[in-house]
Amino acid sequence: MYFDPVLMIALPLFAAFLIPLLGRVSKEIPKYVPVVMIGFNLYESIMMLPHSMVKPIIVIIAAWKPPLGINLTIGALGNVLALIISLVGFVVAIYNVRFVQKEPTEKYHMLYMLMVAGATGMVLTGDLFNLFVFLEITSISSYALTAFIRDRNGAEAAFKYLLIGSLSSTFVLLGIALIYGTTGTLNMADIAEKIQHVDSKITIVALILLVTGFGVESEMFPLNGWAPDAYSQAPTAIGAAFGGIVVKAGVYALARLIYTIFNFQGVFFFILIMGVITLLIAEMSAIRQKQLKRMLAFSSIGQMGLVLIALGLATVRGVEGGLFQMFNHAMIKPLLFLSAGYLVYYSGSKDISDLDGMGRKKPLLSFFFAFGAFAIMGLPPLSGFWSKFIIISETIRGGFVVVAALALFGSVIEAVYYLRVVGRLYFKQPNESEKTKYVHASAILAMSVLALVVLFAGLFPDMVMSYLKPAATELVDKTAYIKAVLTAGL
Amino acid sequence: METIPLILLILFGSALLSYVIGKINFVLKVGVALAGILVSGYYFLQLYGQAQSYTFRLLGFDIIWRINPLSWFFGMLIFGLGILVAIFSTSYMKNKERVDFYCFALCMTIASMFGIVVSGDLLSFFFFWEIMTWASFLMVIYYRYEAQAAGIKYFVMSMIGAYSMLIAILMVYAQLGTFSFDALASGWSDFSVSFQIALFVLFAIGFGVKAAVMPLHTWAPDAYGMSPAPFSALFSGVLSKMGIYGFALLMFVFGAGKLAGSVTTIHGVALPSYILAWFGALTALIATLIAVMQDDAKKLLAYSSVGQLGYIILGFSLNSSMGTTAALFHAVNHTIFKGMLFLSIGAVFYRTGTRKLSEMGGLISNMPYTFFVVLLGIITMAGIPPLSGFVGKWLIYEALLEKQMVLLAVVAFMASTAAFLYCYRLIFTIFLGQRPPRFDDVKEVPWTQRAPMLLLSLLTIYLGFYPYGLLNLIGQAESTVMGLVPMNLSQSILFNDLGHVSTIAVMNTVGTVFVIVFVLFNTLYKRSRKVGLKDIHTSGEVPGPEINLHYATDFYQPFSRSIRYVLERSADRLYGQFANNLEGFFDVLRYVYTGNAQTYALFVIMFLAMLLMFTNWLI
Amino acid sequence: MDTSFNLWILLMPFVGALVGLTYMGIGRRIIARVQHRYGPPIFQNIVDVLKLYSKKTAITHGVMFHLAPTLAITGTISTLMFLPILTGPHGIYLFSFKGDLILLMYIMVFGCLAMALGAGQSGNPNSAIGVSRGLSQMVGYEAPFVIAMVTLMVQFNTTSVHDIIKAQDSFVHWNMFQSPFAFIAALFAFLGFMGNKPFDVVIAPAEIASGPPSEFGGKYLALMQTNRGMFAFVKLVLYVDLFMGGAANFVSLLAKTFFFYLIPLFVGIVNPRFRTEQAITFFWKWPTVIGLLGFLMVIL
Repeated sequence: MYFDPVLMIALPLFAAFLIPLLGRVSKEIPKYVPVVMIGFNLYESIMMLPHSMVKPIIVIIAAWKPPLGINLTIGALGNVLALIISLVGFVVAIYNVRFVQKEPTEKYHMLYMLMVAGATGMVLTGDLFNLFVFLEITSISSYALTAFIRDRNGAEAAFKYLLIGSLSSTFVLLGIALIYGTTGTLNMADIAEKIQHVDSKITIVALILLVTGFGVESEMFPLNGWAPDAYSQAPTAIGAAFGGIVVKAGVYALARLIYTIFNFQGVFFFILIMGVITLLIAEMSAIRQKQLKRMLAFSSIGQMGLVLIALGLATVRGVEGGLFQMFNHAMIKPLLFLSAGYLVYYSGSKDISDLDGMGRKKPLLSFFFAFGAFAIMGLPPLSGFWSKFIIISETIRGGFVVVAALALFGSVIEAVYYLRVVGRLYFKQPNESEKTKYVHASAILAMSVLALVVLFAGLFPDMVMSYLKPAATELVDKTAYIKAVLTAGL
Repeated sequence: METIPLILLILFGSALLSYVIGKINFVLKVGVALAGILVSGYYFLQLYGQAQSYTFRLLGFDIIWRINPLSWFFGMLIFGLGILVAIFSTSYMKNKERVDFYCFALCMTIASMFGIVVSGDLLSFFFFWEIMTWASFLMVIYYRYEAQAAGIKYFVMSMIGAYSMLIAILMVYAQLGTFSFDALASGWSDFSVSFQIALFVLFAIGFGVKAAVMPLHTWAPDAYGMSPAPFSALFSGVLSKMGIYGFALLMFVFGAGKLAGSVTTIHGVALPSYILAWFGALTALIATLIAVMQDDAKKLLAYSSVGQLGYIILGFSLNSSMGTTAALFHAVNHTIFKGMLFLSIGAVFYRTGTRKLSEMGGLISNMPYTFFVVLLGIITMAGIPPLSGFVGKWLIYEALLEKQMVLLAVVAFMASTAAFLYCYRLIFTIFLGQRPPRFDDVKEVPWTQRAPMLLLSLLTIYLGFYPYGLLNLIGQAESTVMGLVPMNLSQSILFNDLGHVSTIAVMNTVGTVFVIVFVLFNTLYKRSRKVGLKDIHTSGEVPGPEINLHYATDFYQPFSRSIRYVLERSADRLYGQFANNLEGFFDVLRYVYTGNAQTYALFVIMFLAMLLMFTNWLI
Repeated sequence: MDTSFNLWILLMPFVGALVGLTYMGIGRRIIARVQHRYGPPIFQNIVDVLKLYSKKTAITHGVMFHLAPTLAITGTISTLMFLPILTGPHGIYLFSFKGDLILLMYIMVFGCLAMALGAGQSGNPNSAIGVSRGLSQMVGYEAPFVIAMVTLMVQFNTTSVHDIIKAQDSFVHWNMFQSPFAFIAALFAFLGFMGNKPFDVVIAPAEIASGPPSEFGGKYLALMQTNRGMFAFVKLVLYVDLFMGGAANFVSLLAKTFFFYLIPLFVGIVNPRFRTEQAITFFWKWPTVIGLLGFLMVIL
C-alpha cells in the first residue's frame, strides 16, 4: 500500500523547513529527520513500483486535469529513478548522521533534504515548468552545499557551480518559454503531441536551449566544468549525493527531452558522440589527478559519458543498459565517495600520495574502496559488468564499433588509475603505525548496504533488469506515455 | 542437481567460505578450500565421457554450460594440477599471513577456469574470463609491496586483451543475435572475409594476452615471478592454457580454420593462421633466448613458459589434425613439467628463501627428491627422450614437416636447442656445484610438498612410455568437438606418413641399457671413495674451504654477447614508454579543465552557439 | 637372423667404442706428423682406457657425479641402437626401424646432458665453465645442422633415416652431391660436433684444465673415454647414413667414416681456437646462409 505520491515531494520540503525549528528543540533531532523522511520516500517508491510498472500513476493536483493542471506522472522510469534517488539519499543520510560534525549542522541537513526533494520532484513531475522549478531547488541547495565547508576552495567551487548553473537555468527557462509560446502548454505529454505541428525551426532552438541547460546537470562535455571542483570541494557525502542524485535527475530530464518531448532523430547521434567525448576526456583527465576526490569526480563524469552513449543509441535495450549503468553508478560512486571521505579524513590529506598503506590501517574502508573500484571497472560478478556489457553490446549492434572501442579504451584508462589508488592503499608501507579511531557504525552500515546491493545486482541482474525494462520501454515508446497521461483524467 | 552448476557452486562456495571462516583458524580455511577442490574434482571425474548441458536465461541472453571431450580435456588439466597445487599449498602457506585471502583467490581462480571450459556461449565465457583475470590478479599482488607494478601491468594487459575479445564477441552477437558457440560455428562461414579476419585478429589478441604470445607477453615474467610459488605453477601450468583453450575454440570450434577457403594460403594454411604460426615460433625462440639470461629462477621459468606456449600456438595455427594433436599433447606436457618445476622452485624457495640462481648451489644432497623432480622436469622440458616432452616435440616437428614449413621447423628446432641452456642453468646453479655455507643445514621439504611433485614426475615418465591413451583422448576431442579427422593412432607406436617412433621401444632400450651398464659398472669395479665438493683439482692453487668456487653468476656470458641484438630490445620498455607518453598527452589534455569559471562559462556559451549554428546536426 | 640380430646388439657398442678410439689414435698420429713429431702408437687410446678401467681408486663427488658416466654411455648406446649401421642384404639395423631422425637428434643429447650434470656436480668451476661454453656453442652449430636436417627431411618428405638412405641408391645420388648446400652446412656443424679445433673451447686444456671431465678419474674417466669413442662413431655413422647413402659392408663403412673423421681433424690442425661467442657468430653467419641456400634449392 502506498500513500499519495505527492507526499514524496511535499513531506521532505515541509520537513526541510521544519528542521531549523526542530534544531532549537534538540541538536540531535535534525540529524535523523532526513533519515526518516527519505526513508519514507524509499518505502513509497518501492511500494509504488509494482503499480507503476503496469501503467503510469498519474497524480492530479488540485483537480485540474492534464493537460491543464500540474500533475505528477509516475511512470516506470520516474519511479525507478525516484527509487534510486531515495536509496542513495537514504544511505547518504545514514552516513550523514555521524559524518557531519561541522556547524551549522541543521542547515546542512535542511539543504540536503531540499536537494533530495528537488531531485525526486524532477523525476516525478509531468509538467515542464515544474521540472524547472525542481531543478532550481536542487541546484540552489547544491550550490549552498558545495560551499558548506566555508573555506576558499569551497567558495570558489560553489561560485563556479553557481555561475554555470545559473547559465543553464537561464537556458532552460528560455527553452521552456519558447515551447510554451508555440504550443501553449506545459504538460510534457501534451507538448509532445502538439510539438509535431510546430515549425521545427523554432522547436530546434528550444531543444538546443534545453539540451544545453540540462547538459550542465548531466555532466555532458564541455558543460561539466563545474563538476570536478564541486565534487571535490563539497563535503564528501555531498559529492556522493551529486553522483547519485543530482546528476541522475539531470540525465532524466535530458532523456525525457530527447525521447518524449521532441521528435528529432539527429540529436541521438549527437548525444552519442558527446557521450564518447565526455567519457574519453574525463578518463584522460582523471589519470594524473593528485587528489582522490577530484579523481572520483572525473570518473563520475566518465560514467555519465557511458550513460549518454547508451541514451544516444535510442534502442530499448540500449536505454535499459543506460538505466542499469545509472543504477550502478548511483550505488558505486557513493560507495567510493563515502569510503574515500573517511580515507581522506584519516590520512589527513586530500592527496592520493598520502594514502600509503591505508589498507593496513583501515582494512574495512580500504576494502570498500577496492570493492567499489572493482565494481566500477566492470568486473564480474559485480553489477558494473552487466551494464557496461549491455551498453557496449548495443553500441556494436548499432554499428558504432569505433565508439565501443573508444569507450573500452576509456575503461582501460579507468582501470589504471583506480588500480593505482588501490595499489597505494595496499601495496605501500604505512607511514606510521599509530592507531586511529574506528569508523563509525553508521558509515559502515551505509557502505555495506551499497556494497551488498552492488553484489546482489551483479549476481542477479535479472531482478534489477525486470524493473528497468518497463522503464526503458516507457522512455522509448512515447505514444504510450502521451496516451497514458492525456487519458488519465478522462 | 546438475553436475556442472554443482561443481561451480562448490568451488565458488568454498572460496567464499574459506575466506569467511578462515578468520577463525588455519586448518579450517585450508581444509574448506582443499575439500572444495577435491569434492569438485571428484564430481568432475564423473563427467568423463558424458555430454551434459545446463542452460538458463540471464538478461535475455541464453547461457549454456556444457561438457564435451574438449572441455573435459582442459578441465582435467585444471583439476589435476589444481588439486596438487592445493595440497602443496597446505604446507607451503603454513604460517604465512593472509592465508584466507590466498585460499579465496585460489578457489576463485580454479572455479572461474572451470567456468571457462564449460561455457558453451561467449557471454559466460567472457564472464568467467574476467573473474579469472581479477582472481589471479589478487594472487599476483599477494606479496603486496613489490608486486604492485607486476600486478597492474598484468591487469591492464589482461584488460586490453579482454576488451579486444569483447568487441569480437559483441560483433558476433550483433551479426547472429546469439552468443552460443554452435551458432557461431555454423554462422562463421557466412561472414564476409574482412569480418572474419577482424574477428580472428581481435580474438587472437584476447587469447594471445593470456597465452603470453609475443609481443603480448610482457606481463607474464613479472606476474609469474611475483605470485606465490604454488600459484605460479597453476598460473603457468593451467591459467595460461585458458588462452590456449581459446585458440582451440577460435581455430576449430568457431571456425577460423575455415578461413583457408577464402584468403591466400601458404602451405595450405590461411594467411592469418600462417602469421599466427610465425608469432608462435618467434615467441618460442625469443622467449627462450631471454630465459637463458635470467638470474631469477621464477623469471627463467616464466620466460620458458612463454616460449613453450609459443610451441602450442604454433601447433594450433597449422590447422591440421597433427598440429592440433601436437599442441594439445604439448599443453598437457607443459602443465606437467611447469607444475613440477614451479613447485620445485617453490620448495627450494621455501627452504632457502631465495630465488636467485647465483645465490644457491649444491643443494642436491640436502634436497634429493626435489633435485630428482627438477631433473626429470628439465629432461621433459628439453624434449629429450624417453620422457613425455619428446613426444610433444616430435609431434610438433612432424606436423611442421608434414606441411613442408621448413623455416618454421628450423626456428622451432633452434628454440628447443636453446632451451637446453636454461634447463642446465636451472638445475646446475641450484643443485650442483659447491654449496654456500649458509645453506649447509637446509632440509628436504615436507611430504605434502614432495608428494605432488613426485606424482607429476611419475606422470611424465608414464606419458613418455605410453602416450597413446592421452592421444586417444585428444583424438576424441578432435573428432567430436573440433571437426577434425584425428590422426591415425596405434597403441604402440607414434607414426605418420613421414616417420615413426616407438616410445615403448625407446623407453625399454634406455632403461635396459642403463640397468645393464649400471649393474656392470657397480659390480665390476671397486666402490669409489667419496670426497667433498671442495676437494677438487685447482691447478696447484689451493683455495681455502671458505672460498666458494660455484660458477653461477652470469652463467652464459659469452652467449649473451652473441644474442645481444635480442636482449637489447624490450617490448616491455617500449610499452612503458608508450604508456608514459600517452599519459603525458592526457596530462596536457586535462587542462581543458582550466579551473577558471569564466572559461567554463565560455564553454557553455560556445556549445550553445555551435549548436545554434549547426542546427541541422540535430534534425 | 634373430641370433645375429641379438649378437650385433651386444657387439655393436664395443665395435663402436673400438673404432672410435682407434680413429682418435690415428688422429693423434696424424697431428703429430703434421707437427713433425712421431706421436703415440695408434692403439694408445685403447690402452689408456683399459689402464683406467684397471685402476684401483676412484673418487666421486656425489650421486650425480657417480651416475653421470653411466647415463652418458646409456645415452650413446641408445642412440647407437636406433641407428642403421650397415644397409643392404647384410644390414645391421638394430632397432632403427623403431625410430626416426628426429628421435636420433634428440636422444643424442641425452648423454651430453648427463655428462654436463656430472661435470656440474664435480664442484670444479672449470667444469661448469666448460659446460656453459659447450652448451652455448651447441646453439651455434645447431643452426646449420638443423637447417641441413630439415632440408633433407623435406627433400625426401620423410623423417625416416632408412628412407633417406634408400633415396641415395647410387654414388651420384649421395646427398653430398644431390644437396651440396645442406651437406656443406652440415659439415660445418660437424666441426662443432666433433669439438676439434677451432671449436674446442669447451675442453680447452690449457685454459680450463680440460673443462667438464677435469674431475673425473679412474673408472669414471675410463667409462667417459669409452663413451667418447663410441659417440664419435655414432656421429660418423649418422653422417655416413645421411650423406653417403650408408654403407653395405664394414670396409666401406670404415672408409666412409674415416673420411668424415679426417675433415675436422685437418681443419683443426691448421686453425687456432675460437672464443665461444666467435664460434657462435661464425656458425650463425656463413654456414647458416649456405644452409638457407640449400632450402631455396629444395623449395624451388
